[in-house]
Amino acid sequence: MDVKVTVNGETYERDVEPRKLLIHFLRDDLDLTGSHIGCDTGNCGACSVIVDGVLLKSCMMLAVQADGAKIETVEGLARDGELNGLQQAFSDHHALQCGYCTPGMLMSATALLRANPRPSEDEIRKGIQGNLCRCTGYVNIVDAIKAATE
Amino acid sequence: MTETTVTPERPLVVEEGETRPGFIGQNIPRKEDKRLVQGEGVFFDDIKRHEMGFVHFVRSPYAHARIKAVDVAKALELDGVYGTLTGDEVAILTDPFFELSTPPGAHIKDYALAVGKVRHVGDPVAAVVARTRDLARDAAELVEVEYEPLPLVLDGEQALADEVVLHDDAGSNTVWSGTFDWGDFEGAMAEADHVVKIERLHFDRFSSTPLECSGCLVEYNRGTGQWTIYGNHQMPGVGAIWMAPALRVGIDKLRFVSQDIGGGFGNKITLHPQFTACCLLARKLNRPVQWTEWRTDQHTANTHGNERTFLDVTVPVKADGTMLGFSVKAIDDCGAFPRYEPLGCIIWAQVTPGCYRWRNVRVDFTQVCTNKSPVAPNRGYSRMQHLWLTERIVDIVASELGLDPVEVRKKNYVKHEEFPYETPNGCIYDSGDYARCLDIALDLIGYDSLEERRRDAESRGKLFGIGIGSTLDSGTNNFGQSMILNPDLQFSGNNEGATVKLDIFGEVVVTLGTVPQGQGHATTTSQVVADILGCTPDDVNVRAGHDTYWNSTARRPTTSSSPRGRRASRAIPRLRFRSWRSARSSTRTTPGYRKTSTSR
Repeated sequence: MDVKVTVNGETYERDVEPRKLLIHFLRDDLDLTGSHIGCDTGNCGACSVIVDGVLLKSCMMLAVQADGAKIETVEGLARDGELNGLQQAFSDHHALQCGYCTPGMLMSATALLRANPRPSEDEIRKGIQGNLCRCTGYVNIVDAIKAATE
Repeated sequence: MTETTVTPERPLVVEEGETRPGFIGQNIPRKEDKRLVQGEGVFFDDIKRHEMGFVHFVRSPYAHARIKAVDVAKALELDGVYGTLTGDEVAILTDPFFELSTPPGAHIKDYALAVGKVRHVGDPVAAVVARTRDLARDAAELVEVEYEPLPLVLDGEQALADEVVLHDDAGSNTVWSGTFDWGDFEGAMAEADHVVKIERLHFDRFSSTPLECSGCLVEYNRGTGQWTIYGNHQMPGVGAIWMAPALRVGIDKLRFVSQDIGGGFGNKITLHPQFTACCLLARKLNRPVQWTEWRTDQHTANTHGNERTFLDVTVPVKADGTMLGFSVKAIDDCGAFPRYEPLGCIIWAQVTPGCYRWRNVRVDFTQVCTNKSPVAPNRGYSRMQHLWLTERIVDIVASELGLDPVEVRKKNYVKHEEFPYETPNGCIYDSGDYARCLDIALDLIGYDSLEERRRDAESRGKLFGIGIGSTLDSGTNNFGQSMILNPDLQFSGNNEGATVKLDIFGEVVVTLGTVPQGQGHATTTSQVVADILGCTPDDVNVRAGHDTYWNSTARRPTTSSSPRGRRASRAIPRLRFRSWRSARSSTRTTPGYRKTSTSR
């Protein structure tokens, strides 16, 4: 089936298998490998992207369902190689180690801060409750998101 | 580029009599972060090759069964399926992986796919390669396997009886056994005012579960007979020693490459069976093959951490709470195949007394196989199980004698003034102040108020537990110790390779043999190198990841920090022959010189 999407401002058109997941479409067909896969079950959040302004796990959506959508991924956060405030805060606060969960964390935090620019710590924790990190622990990630609001 | 925002402050001893400010120990921005927060890391699943095929393993639904027949015909009929591999082929094309243990474990036959029998749920019996991941999964469902279920053994103690034996060639479920006896345990018993006996303690199996599943992309070069494996094996140096003889080639025929790895924790140290199957498929099908483990497969069949049962724990104690030692019978359950794990039979001995001064320790250690997925040296491996035992002993002793568990710990800890401290088995603890550490921890958690919180919880029908664990670990280790397990093992002590060179614009390029999985090897190494050369970490470019072509030792990360720093520092004197500063100043005079990024 034909699928036309805009990802980080760029338009892509591809013929995809109806059963292909959006995450596999992004990674395998568009070579946007910044979003990662950590589970088969929608638990880990490593594949989180923003579709038409809504945060979602791209393993929970078929590529064909995204036809016509505007998609934002981690690759679109920095501008001309300059990290945005959230990305810089992750580095400053040691909010990543292996970096595998990081793209999903960043997209969840991005969606959170758009909806709620001054979240409390509880709201931050709720905002990333769909994302798992296996290295760092969450304290530094929460600190980084908090710092990005200041 | 990442700019180091700190200036050198701490005095650094560079050579005897020479000190100057250094970067070691300072908090500097991580070199790895800039690309990782932009999604510009390169993990194995990000790598693609033209016409590559996707691998899916057909796995056993039985914990123990004889394989009567494997029929791949229907899978091969599916359009887009490139080929298959079965256990029968593996038995012809490869030799069993070498075993670390002496007999009976030495006689175990372990292949890339199950040969003759399956021994745990998820044991791979065949592999299918197809044009897409989903098609490979579809095709795997069409592989017909006829099983004859066998009785199983799931418990380490029961496995000792050998009523059900997993490995007929070994003739026993016992992999290795040995008795460790230090000090004078009988003398300690005679001296004791009390003897505390604990019938049974059990440390459950677990998995650290890295967020990135295991996998690889394998290419076979028919001209050179060499495989290139882009994968997340976290200790390829050892993986190659397993794989190459099994594939009947020299180790040089296996090139391992990894840049970023999404966590390892030891779960990715024994990937050699799956990687070997992929090597066979890449050669057989003459195309690159890619295997990405599904999370369901990871939970079902990838490695776990060891399960250990402690029986007949006996602890001689003085009336004042001084513990004189302990004896225990430990049964370690390594699952269906021991692989790396016979080393777990001895590595706990690096922390034999834990944090305590007891001098008389006797451990009767036996490792057995059971019908569960194999284990691997998972996070803190083997030491953690042993240290858990010491902490349980302390708490039970305190409880039985009516003593305060904090005071029993403090009374028995190695004292600050006793460092460096030689343990009963000759290990040296270099420094520490355990009692002070405990005081700080208790203060931080508000220990004095916990009893009140417990009572409050109880009044609301809730349970509120209070537990103390004080442990230490060997930050680096000497695997010459492996010869206790098997005198023929040629593992040496600490070793790691590093090269340091000067590039055309004066930037320093460092190559490590390590396989980073998030530990920040590039950052910390740049601090060491910068201090020795008198430059800044920004001037040091540490190559990202591992490539066998660069270096080949590939230790696991828990133990790599110390040898890594030392190797980098030993590589440097030759470079210092022409100092970094003079090289740098000469490049600055080059017309059109522009400083290039050295931190990416």
